[in-house]
Amino acid sequence: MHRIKVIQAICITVSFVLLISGGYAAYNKSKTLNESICLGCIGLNPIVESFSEFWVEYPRGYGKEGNVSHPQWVIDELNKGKIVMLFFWYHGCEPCSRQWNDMLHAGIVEGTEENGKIGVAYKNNVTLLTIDTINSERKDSIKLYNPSKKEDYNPTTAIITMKNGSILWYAFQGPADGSGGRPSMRGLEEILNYALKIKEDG
Amino acid sequence: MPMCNFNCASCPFAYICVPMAIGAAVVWKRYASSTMQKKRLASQLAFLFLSNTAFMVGSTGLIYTFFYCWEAPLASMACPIGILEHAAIEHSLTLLIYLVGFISIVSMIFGRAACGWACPIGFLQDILGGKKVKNEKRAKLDKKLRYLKYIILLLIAPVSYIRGTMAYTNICPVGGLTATIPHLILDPHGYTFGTYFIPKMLFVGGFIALIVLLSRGWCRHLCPVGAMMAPFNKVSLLQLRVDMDKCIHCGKCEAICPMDIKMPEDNKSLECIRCGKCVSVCPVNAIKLGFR
Repeated sequence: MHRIKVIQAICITVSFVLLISGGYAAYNKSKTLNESICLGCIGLNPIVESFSEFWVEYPRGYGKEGNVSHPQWVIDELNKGKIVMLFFWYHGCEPCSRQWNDMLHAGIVEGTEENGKIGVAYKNNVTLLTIDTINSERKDSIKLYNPSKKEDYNPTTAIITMKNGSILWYAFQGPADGSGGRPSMRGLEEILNYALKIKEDG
Repeated sequence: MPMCNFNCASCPFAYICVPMAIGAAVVWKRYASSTMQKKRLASQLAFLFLSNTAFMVGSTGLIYTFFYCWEAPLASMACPIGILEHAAIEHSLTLLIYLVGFISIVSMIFGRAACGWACPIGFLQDILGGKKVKNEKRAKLDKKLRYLKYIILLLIAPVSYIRGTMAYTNICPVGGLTATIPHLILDPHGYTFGTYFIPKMLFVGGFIALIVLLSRGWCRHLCPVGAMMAPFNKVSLLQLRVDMDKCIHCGKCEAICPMDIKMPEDNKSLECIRCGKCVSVCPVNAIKLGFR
């Protein structure tokens, strides 16, 4: 009887120390994970409108209205004459890694999500910025490129270009798998090529 | 804070309060037998509500010590299995330490009581009833299948680590029931079906069949969260104590146990969910549920 009490005291102390030491660093991480929506993990993907034309303001019918205040780090890249492709993801986001692997196979990107670069075919024209929506300082920009009033979903892909000084953009939430109105890998390439054409024409 | 206007068709919280109200009404008689069981019903209802308080407190970094999907529309805490998967995928030791600390401190105090008193999935199983194992052949199979949940728990981290995906979440039937279906109810035209939709729904079907056919079937055979807490039953502060001098060996405790534990001998069983049904049914008050 005495022995069990000693075991209990040791176990409770160890558990408490683990909880406190882990919790100090992990509470916020756990909170952010809890806030991140991963619809792909529960077998769903949000429906978005198929690409027909780049947007200037927030598109009609999605929920948000008015101008998009693009962040300075996007504008800086556009001013360098580049098209910007944003890929919002986080560790453990299954649909994000699915889209990343598909983009790797298609040659659109190179490397990993953390240190990803744009593929050889677009190297001179497109800047790829991968944004970890849990740890990155730029994580809040996902809200900006979510055209709907619903929660932000991962992955989100945004393509931003410029024509005659005005910024044009398009974004979709969920993996680029050709379902739910989202583009397939081929469709994504077509959007990138169209963005290049607009820029050159402009 | 939104107030109830009894217009359930347009209410985003209807998927919680309607089943809660129906469930409580249906099972009331089962709980009305003793004060302890009434307290247990109140606790299960309270934890079901607490699990869905994101509309009041937002998403917190706390971890459920039971099974409830953190992708559920109003989930306020994180799923222990989800945290385990993320710890494996991201190689995050701090997340793993936090999870182990959280689960072990609760389990050291209460044992597996979270299964019987807090878990919404346990509550669902209590509502649906399910049958006890009577046939001896089936009892042997049932005993073997109980190891399945430990195997599942042990596989989650390595498979997630190797594949880099949330191996269990993708097919989790509890997620299908508490997150996928409610999301579809709230916005039927807002989604298309992903890769894991059909497997997930098949598992939901299997899960429902299991818990309808077998009393606490999910807790017995498949729940990896129950498997996390089970070893603590041997040393937890909350214990079932049997006074063998008082015991008249009437067999009522074993007959009512939803987990088919061999009571009163096996009162420290890893399978005990501390529901206290045996305490309520004992004619000579030989069984006590208390801290020591």
